[in-house]
Amino acid sequence: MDIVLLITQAVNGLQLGVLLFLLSAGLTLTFGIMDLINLAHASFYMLGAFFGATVAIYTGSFTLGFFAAIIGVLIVAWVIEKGIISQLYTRDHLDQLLATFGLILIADTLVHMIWGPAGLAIALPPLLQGQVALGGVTLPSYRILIIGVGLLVALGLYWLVNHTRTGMLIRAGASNRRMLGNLGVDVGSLFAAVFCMGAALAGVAGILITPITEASIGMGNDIIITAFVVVIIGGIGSIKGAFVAAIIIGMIDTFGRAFLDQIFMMIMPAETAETAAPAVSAMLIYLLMAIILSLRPAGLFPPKLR
Amino acid sequence: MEASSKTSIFVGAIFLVVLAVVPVALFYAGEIFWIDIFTRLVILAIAGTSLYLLLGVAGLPSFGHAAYLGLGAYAVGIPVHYATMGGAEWLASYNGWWQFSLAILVSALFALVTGAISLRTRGVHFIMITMAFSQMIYYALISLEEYGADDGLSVYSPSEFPPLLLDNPIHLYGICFGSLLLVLYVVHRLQHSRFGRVLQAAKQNETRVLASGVNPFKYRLLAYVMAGVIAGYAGALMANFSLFISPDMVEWSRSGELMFMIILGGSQHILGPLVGSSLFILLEFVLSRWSIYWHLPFGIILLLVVLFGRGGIIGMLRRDKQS
Amino acid sequence: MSALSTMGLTKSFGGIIATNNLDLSVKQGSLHALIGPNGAGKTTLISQLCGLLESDSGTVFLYDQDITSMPPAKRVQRGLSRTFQITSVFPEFSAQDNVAFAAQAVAGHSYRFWRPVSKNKTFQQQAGEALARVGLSSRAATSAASLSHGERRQLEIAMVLAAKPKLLLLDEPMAGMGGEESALMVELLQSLKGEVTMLLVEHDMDAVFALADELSVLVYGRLIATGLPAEVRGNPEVQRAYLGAASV
Repeated sequence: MDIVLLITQAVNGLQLGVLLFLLSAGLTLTFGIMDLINLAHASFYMLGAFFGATVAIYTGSFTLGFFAAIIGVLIVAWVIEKGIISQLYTRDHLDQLLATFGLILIADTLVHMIWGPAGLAIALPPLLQGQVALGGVTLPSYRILIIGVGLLVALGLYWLVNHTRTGMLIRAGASNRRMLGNLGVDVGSLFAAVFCMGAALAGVAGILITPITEASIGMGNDIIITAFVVVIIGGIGSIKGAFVAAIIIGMIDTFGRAFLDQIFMMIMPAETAETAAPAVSAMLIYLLMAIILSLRPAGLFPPKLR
Repeated sequence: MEASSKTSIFVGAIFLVVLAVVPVALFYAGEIFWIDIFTRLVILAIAGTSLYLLLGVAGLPSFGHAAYLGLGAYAVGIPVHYATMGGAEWLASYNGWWQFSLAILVSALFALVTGAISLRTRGVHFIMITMAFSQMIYYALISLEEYGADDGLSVYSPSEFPPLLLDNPIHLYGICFGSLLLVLYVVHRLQHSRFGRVLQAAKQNETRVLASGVNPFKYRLLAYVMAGVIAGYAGALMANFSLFISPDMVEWSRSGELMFMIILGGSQHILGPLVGSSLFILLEFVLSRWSIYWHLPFGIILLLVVLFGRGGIIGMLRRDKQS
Repeated sequence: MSALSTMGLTKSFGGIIATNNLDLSVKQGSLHALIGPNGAGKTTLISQLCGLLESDSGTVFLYDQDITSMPPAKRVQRGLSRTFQITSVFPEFSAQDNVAFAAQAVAGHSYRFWRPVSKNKTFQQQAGEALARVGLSSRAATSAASLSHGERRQLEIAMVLAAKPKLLLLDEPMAGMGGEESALMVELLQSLKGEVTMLLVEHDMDAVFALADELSVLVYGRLIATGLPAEVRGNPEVQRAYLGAASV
């Protein structure tokens, strides 16, 4: 194993971790504060990609596409929150799960109807197509950008949650929901704001990944489960937990896929290792979750006074 | 109460008679297409009934139940694959007894291990952890090149249970329908036994169960294994029915559909899954003929059922009778 | 001989000491009442005794046996049952099924998968007897959710009776009851005296003084007095800390 490969994979892992964080930040807040499981979070990720890609193709500007993704997702999220999601806060988790599963089906089909079955690919602006050399390792500058955006969002959320009045309410809500009403807070507006903010972050993740993978129908439906794993490992309602867990999972998943076959080859015949390694590496994060939950059933950073 | 349970029995009896007579009659009348629809319905109803044991009886909302369908299906597909292509002599076989035993054993083991972990969690953690474990199977299957990865695997020859021929649609349907009756009866007996009482009690008030002198954990774990075994068995039937298996069977949205069927039919009645899977198949059949965009009305119906249809179809029937 | 005793029992939550180095002894066959102002740690103590809450230190003895680290379900099997301050029954079961389950729960394991419980004569008979004992026979087929508050309290008593306990922990059985219902409950508990040892936590002083053979006063997790009701009533520290100098 050479050091260059190691660093490249570390950057890939960090990038996956950052994307997972963007997705799970909203999930963990809606989970923690509104006690809502929202599978349709996956649809915001997809919609961010499609809105952004469409505008980027139409205007030729990735930057405009980026902001279009945020605004578009915010609008959709607001409408859905007012129309449907707000009905679900008091329902049990199973109802929430099934209803938002219905929303995914609806969103996927609508995207199919509007954009057709094929995906939307966009090119990167020339500025971001290059490579950056960091101490003998060359890295694509776009990946650095994704990581940068993710870290900025993480810092911003940290500031929001820990140093503003809204953040104080969010923390209060995550540890004790009933307290919010007693504090004289307009709970409906707070919930809507948190929901839309989370959705917008998912939209950001969606448009950020589009130049690498392209926008496609159902693109969020698998990664959303990984994001849920992040939320659970991190501790429901904890932004810090989501960040730590997202980075850990991004790293473990990436390194598992990259190096597990070589590790396996040291202990078993090459042929067996080649069959087993991909399967085991695909299962790694779930094994991690199982281990963490058996040691700490409420995750790494459970909100206090639940 | 009496009147409502009579209605349910009546509706259930009609369902079962229709399932016993109609597909067979249609088949001999030359309408051979229908028996496929009914076979799938019955297999889904078996899987649904196993999930009812968890959700309806024990109050454990497993959102990863499709994993067992996949495990059961691959327990048939992989031995057939080796028997056809060569290799892994210890595993390769067309023998149905071997394949179905394997399906049951693998499902039981997976349920035992994941259940022991999942059942330590509650509520939303339980939902998500069961979902995550089934995704684990999904990703494992997707990365197994040997078994076709995400392209899936053809089952070249159905399980051999001489003298029954599973490639004869009537025989297959007979086996599936008989299995459904058996599963319904077994789950019914379980539900009202001492064992079932512990599950039902723990669903309503776990602290009181502890304070009554019973730790429900092992009972729940056993129920979890039983449900896994039944669903694994349904998966083995599914492999024989579709003769093609793929990781898609395990994807979490399959688990969501299974859950939807139960909620649609009524999660508080043993016949809920059967009624639900019938409606599900009907919806899928009608809507998918109507448009390639059939998931749109399907999603809307799902949403409406969850928002307004408390207790599912059977729940509504019971309410009508009571009022 | 004491049916239940604790030595140095302690439990704290964060910085708050709920049970402070507590030595308590409940005599075999007696009704021992435990009183104290709100927040004195009475429910915490009950939960420690029945095992739903783990103690930080100290020991609990049931007769001669150290049960400090025994899981709650096992304690019930050894004859230690409890009721809850907030009534705890199975709302979807009928009254009969509630009590039949309580009987089943102490009758060995429940790995019986085939025979319906409704056909089990032993459990149904025990349930019938316990319901009759608390005066709920006519409500046997009613679901617990449809019972009145007072009836659910009676049902909970029937459930613990069906477990044939040697020692009963009663956490405010009169809470939220009207005068008539309370009187019925006092009568019921009176009829149980001698048959089963009881530790009664209760705010209703009339009930306490009508029933108690012995009385202990708990304040901030500490026992400040214990003895015959009349003695405790006269104890100046008790009057200062709890009963208020003017009253009683």
